[in-house]
Amino acid sequence: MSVRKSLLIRSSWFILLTLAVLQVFINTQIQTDIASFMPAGRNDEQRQLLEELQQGAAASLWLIAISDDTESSADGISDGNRILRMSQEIAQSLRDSGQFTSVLNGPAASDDKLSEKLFRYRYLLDESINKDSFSVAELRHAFQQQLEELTSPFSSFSKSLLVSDPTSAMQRVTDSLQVSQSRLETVNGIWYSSKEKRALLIANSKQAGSNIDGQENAYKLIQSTFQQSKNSVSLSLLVSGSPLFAVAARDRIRMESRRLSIAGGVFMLVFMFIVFRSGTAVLLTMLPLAGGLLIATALVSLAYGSIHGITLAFGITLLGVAIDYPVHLLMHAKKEKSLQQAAVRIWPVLRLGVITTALGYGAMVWTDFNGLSQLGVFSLTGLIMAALITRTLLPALKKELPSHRTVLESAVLSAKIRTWMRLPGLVLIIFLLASLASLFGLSSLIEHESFMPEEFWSHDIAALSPVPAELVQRDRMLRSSLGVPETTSLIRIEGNNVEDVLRKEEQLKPVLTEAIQNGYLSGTQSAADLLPSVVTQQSRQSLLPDRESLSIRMQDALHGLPFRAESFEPFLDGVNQTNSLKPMTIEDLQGTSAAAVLQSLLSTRKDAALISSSGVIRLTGLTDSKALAKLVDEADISQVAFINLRSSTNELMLEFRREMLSRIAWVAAVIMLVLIVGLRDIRRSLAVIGPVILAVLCAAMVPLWLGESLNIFHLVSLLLVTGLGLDYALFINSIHHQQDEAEIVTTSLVICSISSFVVFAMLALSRIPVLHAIGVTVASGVVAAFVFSWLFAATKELEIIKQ
Amino acid sequence: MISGSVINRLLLTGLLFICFTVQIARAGELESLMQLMASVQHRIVHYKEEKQMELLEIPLSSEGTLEYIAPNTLVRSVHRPSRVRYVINSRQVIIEKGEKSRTLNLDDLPLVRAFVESFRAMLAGDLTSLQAYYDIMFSGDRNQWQITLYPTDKNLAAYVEKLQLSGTGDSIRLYIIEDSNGDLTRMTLYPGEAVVGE
Repeated sequence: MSVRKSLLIRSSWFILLTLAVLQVFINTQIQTDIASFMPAGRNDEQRQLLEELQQGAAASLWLIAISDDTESSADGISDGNRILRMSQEIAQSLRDSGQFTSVLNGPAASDDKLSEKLFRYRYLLDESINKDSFSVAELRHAFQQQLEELTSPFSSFSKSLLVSDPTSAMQRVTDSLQVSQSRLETVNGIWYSSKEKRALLIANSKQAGSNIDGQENAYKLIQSTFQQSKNSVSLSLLVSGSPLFAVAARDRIRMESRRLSIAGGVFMLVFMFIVFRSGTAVLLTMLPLAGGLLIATALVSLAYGSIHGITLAFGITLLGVAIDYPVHLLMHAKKEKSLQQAAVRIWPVLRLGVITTALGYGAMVWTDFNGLSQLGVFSLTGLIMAALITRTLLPALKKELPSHRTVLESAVLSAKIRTWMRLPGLVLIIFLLASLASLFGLSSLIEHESFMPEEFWSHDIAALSPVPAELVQRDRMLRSSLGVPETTSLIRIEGNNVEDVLRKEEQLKPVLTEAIQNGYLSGTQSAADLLPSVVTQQSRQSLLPDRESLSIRMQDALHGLPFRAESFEPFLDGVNQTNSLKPMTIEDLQGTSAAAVLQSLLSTRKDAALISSSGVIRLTGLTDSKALAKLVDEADISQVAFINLRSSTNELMLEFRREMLSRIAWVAAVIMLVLIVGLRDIRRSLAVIGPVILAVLCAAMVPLWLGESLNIFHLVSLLLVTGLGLDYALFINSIHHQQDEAEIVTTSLVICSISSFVVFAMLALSRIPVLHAIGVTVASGVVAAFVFSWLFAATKELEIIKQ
Repeated sequence: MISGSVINRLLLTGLLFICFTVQIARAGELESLMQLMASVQHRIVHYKEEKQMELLEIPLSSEGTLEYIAPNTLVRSVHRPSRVRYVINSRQVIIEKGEKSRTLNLDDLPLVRAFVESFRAMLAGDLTSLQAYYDIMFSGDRNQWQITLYPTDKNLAAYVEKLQLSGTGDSIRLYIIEDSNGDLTRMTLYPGEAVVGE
């Protein structure tokens, strides 16, 4: 290579990498919310699910408990007071922080403004109003009831309401609002469980649930607020809620990934140094991977505006194959004495390997699964760049390598491996076993796929959750004691406007009542509980008598009862005023405590010229979601859906898997075609694709043998196994009966497979399900790919010898 | 005229002064009565009640039993005209009528709580709590006494003018509630069924 050409190559790579560095460090945002990794959503339910995951009220709800750990109950009251004071202080400072939309540490204070509104609209809000409500008989019954009520010890207080509301409409209105409220013990208006000596708070973060950084800040704020106002050592803080799960999961993955990548990185550096005995060589082995990563990150962030954290993590995993390229180059350079010559020599094999692997990775690019297509673009770019760097930049940087012989390079070892592989008996046994295992695997794969997918494939996303079980337990405990609605399921209603949504919610009411009566639901919270639709209010209004006729009926009803008719003027006035009221709307409740509640239950969206509204019905104490789903389904109200977040998420995963599998089938066919064209030999192509397929099957079987179900992370790992397998098989097949060539290839493949195996075995030891899944699959895939590649190569040799 | 009003004022001051000294003298009596009340841990009495109300043409009468379990549970069982049971403790009021029951949280009803306290604190001999809600006028001695309670809280005073309790020894005989609009509740209690604790 001429000096000028090498300078040109170096400077153009330098410029490209500098640009990539600039883009990565100045202009790249890493996204962390899982929702943006998900597909755009095929059906309505998935879209709603994503919206709910991102913006749902439950996703940003923090549950907080302050408890006293002291054993001494002798001074129980003063302990309690300490906690109560603490609860007040924390609630106040959290409110003052401006980070929360609401902070509750007790039942919402009785809101006089709201009571006043409800009282004025009582005859429009009372669900029991029907055409007989103001008949003589009903009125008489009501008056008799009231007479009994007067024997109460509290008649001094209740009598003023009696004369304005003898039919107790107001009581029914407030009762129906309280149904959904928790039945938590309160002391001085603060939620406090005296048995557990624990005060409880609920705080709703301003940040969307999907904004994990925002939620983490909220978490830190809660903790620091507690530390600041902590007035006794014996008090402790317990925090839970969906946002905590998100934060905890991310932190755990982040910590473990960091630990593992440091360990893996150190191992690679040391291992490569042992092999090559040269710092420069070690740097050269790292350069393609690093350069590929940089350029891929820069490109994805340019194309998509940002890069997702999951893309980055999986992408780095998939690019693991790129570490093999410089190893091949450097090993060959020892023989050729020049990197440039070595590059020219290995390029045809390497190129075929890169193209076929790229096809495998590229399967992910054209999908509406946003994160998956990002991952495809990322790994594709990284792979090609790493190969190009190996081909052009490395020879331009370093002319030749000093040659050292290491343990791994000994001719004895490579000869031994090749001899082992050539033992016909061993070959036959291993081959038979492997084929049997693969056949078994294949058949059970097909069988399970169609008949018992549950056992074989895990699409329960909870099984993948890195959140410690103890946290989940704590959440369940706090949630049940606070009576906070479920986070996993809800009913969602879409409509043209608020009125439309409210009407649908009203239609749904009998269904929910049935579910409550059947015992698998304990309560609901919906906007229609607070605010009946205009139509409903108007129909109630039409049933109200005018003042005159009501007065006459009341006289009749009072006949023989000790009540003085004149006392009930306020009742006549009240009904009469309701006759001319405009139905209550959301606007009428502005400034009351109900406004905030309604806001969380109803939303109106403007897309271009289209305005639509949606509402959610929150569910508490749901024990049988299938039964409720069936009931809601049978009610057959348009645009009303029961959403189980868990099963919907699982469905997403299922779809992801299906998509991957169907693509893999196509891609396998294309790869085979490319191989045939590249190698110009069907027999050799089969010798390459055969071990790859077997390795992939083996890698898929190992987790199953370990009793794990396959999930999408195993699938992504299988892509890497495909890449590695192609690399091994192609290089082994490139041997043409020259002893030194065989030695070099053997050694470089041993180095490659040892390094990949160790790094992924480390991952396999991780307790985090995702990392473990990737580790187990790839580590076993590496071993399988190595062994099968040799076996196929050996059988080929045997055939040649026989001939 | 001016001198007349001065004399009136003097007279009033004098009267108040006398009342005040009498009150101090009686304070001892009130405390010893409260101690006596506190010594009874459990009582059940029969009662008859008559309500004269503006909204009623004729008074409404009812009867039943009252049970007190120290220190803060009161059960009022109305037997006539219809059966209703009120279980009152420091936190809540449970109203049981046939199969149905309703719970009122006293945290939400500070007025009712103060009102309930007039009777409970009296039975428990809890003078501190009584003084927290009411101005107390005491007359007689611990054998034959009369106590009038005036709500100190304005909001309560808007509903209730005053409460009058009279009795002999450790038993309450008469409990009169006078509402601010003049409505009267007269509750006569028939001891004898009292269970005296240690």
